[in-house]
Amino acid sequence: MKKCPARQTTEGVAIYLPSESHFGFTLITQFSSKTIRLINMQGDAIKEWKTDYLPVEAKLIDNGNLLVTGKDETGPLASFEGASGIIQELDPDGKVVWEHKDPYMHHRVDRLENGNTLILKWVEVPAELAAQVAGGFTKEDSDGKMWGDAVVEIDNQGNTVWEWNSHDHLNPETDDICPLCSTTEWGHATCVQAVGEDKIFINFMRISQIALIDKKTGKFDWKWGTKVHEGEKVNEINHQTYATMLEDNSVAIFDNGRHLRGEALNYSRAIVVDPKTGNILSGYEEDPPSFLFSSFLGNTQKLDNGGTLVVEGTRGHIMELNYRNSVVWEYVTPDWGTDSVYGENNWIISAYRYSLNEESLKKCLGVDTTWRTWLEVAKVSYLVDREEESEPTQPQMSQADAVRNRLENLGY
Amino acid sequence: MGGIARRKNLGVTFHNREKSYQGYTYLDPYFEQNRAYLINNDGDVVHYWDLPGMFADWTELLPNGNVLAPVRKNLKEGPKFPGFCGATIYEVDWDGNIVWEYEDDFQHHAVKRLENGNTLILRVIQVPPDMAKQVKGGMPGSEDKQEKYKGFMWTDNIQEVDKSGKVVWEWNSHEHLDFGEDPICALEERSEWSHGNNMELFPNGDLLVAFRCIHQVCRIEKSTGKILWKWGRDQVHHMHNPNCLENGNILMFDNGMHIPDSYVCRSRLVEVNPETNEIVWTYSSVPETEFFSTFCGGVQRLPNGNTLACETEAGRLFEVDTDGNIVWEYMSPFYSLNQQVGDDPRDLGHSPRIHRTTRFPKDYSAFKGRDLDPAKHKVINQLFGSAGMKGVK
Repeated sequence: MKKCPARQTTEGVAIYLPSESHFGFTLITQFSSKTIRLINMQGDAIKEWKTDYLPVEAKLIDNGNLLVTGKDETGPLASFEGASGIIQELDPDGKVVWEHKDPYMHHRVDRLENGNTLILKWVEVPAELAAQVAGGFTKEDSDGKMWGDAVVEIDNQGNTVWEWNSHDHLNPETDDICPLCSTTEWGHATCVQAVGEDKIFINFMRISQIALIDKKTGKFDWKWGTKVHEGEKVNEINHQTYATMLEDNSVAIFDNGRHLRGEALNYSRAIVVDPKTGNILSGYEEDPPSFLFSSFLGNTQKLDNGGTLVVEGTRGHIMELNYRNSVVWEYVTPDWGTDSVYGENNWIISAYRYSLNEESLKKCLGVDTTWRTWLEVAKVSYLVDREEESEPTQPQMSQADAVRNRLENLGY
Repeated sequence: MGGIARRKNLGVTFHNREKSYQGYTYLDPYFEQNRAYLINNDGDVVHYWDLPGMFADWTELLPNGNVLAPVRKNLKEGPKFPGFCGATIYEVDWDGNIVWEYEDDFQHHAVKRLENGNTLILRVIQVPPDMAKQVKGGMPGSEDKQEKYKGFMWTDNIQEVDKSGKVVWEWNSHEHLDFGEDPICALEERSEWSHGNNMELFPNGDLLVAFRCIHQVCRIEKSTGKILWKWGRDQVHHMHNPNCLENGNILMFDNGMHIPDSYVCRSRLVEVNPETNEIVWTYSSVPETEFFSTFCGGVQRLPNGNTLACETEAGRLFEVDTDGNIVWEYMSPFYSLNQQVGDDPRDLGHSPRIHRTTRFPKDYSAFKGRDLDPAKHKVINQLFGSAGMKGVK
């Protein structure tokens, strides 16, 4: 036995408080699994997609299809974290209905309302500029190249209709690379998202910044993430792998915290920030802080009921918090795979909760919206009359049980 | 407080009785009761020592059954040097009575009792300012934090004091470390150069010290003060608890924090041959991220060849065989009830933190003639022992 025995036994749903949680289905993309799963609240997969490539990210889109970016192992930069190379759109039966390849593509994509797609790709930073970029260290085996990010909008034929290069707009002096990261990459964008028709939100992991790009001018409307405090550079956020702009223009961030400056701790947190003022509007940290830590991977999602989904990627662990930040649903993935570099793992890249009123989910599952049909699809056997054999595999825990369990385990 | 996945199974969660080394584990959790416990392999308490206060980092069980415990002075108002120093070092007997005490405003981390009865104390000392400027690395600008660090860079000093408190030997790290070879980690403040976090002894009396901020483990020759061996840079990161094995190798807890250009933070156990500087044995978890403590950490080679690890932040102890298979695992149920999460290293919230642990053979000299019946500690064991914890056996 090489895995941690105490944590092995916690796989599946550990907490489920039906009255408090945001009912829906959770789409899980794993680091070393070619199966993307949609699970119900009991942790059973009600739908699975098998992909040809290791997924980098998957999301349901409004037409009910699954948009998956996959990793092309033969790509020129395949050894870079988050390298993809291919996007596929899978219909509810798993059939590939659209595909786009680009060897320099990486991380997340966003489907626009007009049917076009925003992608991220690596472009070489001109050598002269690269030499001016502050921070980072040069690796011994470096070929001298520095890669930056481009945002490209492609139509459904794969034609480029708009392109933006981060190195034309980042500041080589103040947008410096983390001192513990190499100069192989500058920004390492991980998320791109269309905001309205003329703005694009982007998340840069290596320089620990988020920004809003004006599509017409290419300039940043704002950029946030670091400040100088008493002569010392301070990260407001640190190596955040996931950020998304919400409808009220605040930003939800999974702040990984891999390279916190001057701290003896590593810990992650999920926050919502107003990027214009820098005020943190809400957030969640564990107690003790190190009990929520994913050095990379992971994401967060604000739910319609005020709750939050927090995905602790490198622990294969998802928590749903209610609006008071109490854990109302908790899940550890039992889906293990093997990575050529990191070995056996159950890491989660991202997870999203889809609620019953979302078009994407309805179309994906092909069901009408009656409550009873939903319960059938969800296999929620304790709420409807069903045969014995469809009892949920994971017993749900009542609130009282959960509280008692917690207290008992803490020795009270 | 968050989910239960990491807190669900506490106590002994795995026990292969044939393969695990049966002994008594000395355990000093960061727990408000200020106690050090001795537990058996079933997780039952067989003895405890009530200490005179909150100990600073860890305490040591001595061969006569006494405990050497540095207790942090005025935790909240203590000296405003790097913040982690200043202690009254107590020696308490088997029943917790104070038999010796010594005050030191600069003590941090380690104290070590020598065979001659003297005590080695790891302390902070200022680096002379003109020398501090030559030290490389660290975060630019951080040396200007006048208030917090009084504008100085601090480093390590080791003193040997006799029973009466007289200093009989002294060593300063800044006289022996190298500006070129020993730069501060890029993410650390320039308030400290070396940050020693451990002190062990070689059979001939030489010292083995780990310097966290510069990723180096050093063998210090006792007679001359010279650094005879220095290893760690680019191999291990912010390591803790190096100790000397009978085969001459050095075993350590490689925290794996601040690995340059790595997306993964993970801890390892590393055995290195100081003759060849080659790593001869390692243990990593599956997945490797599952075993990680940013700070502290303990490792010990057991008499049967197994290795005991203490994953500090998770409060997890586990024993692995030479192939890296877990044969015993214990999730500490001793959670701190401290509400605060703050600047003081002790304010870590509801944490099961244990700095390091040691397992002793059942016939260890400290236990001769002692009553080690777990039944004597019925209430504690009903709460925290095998009867109270529903670990998976």
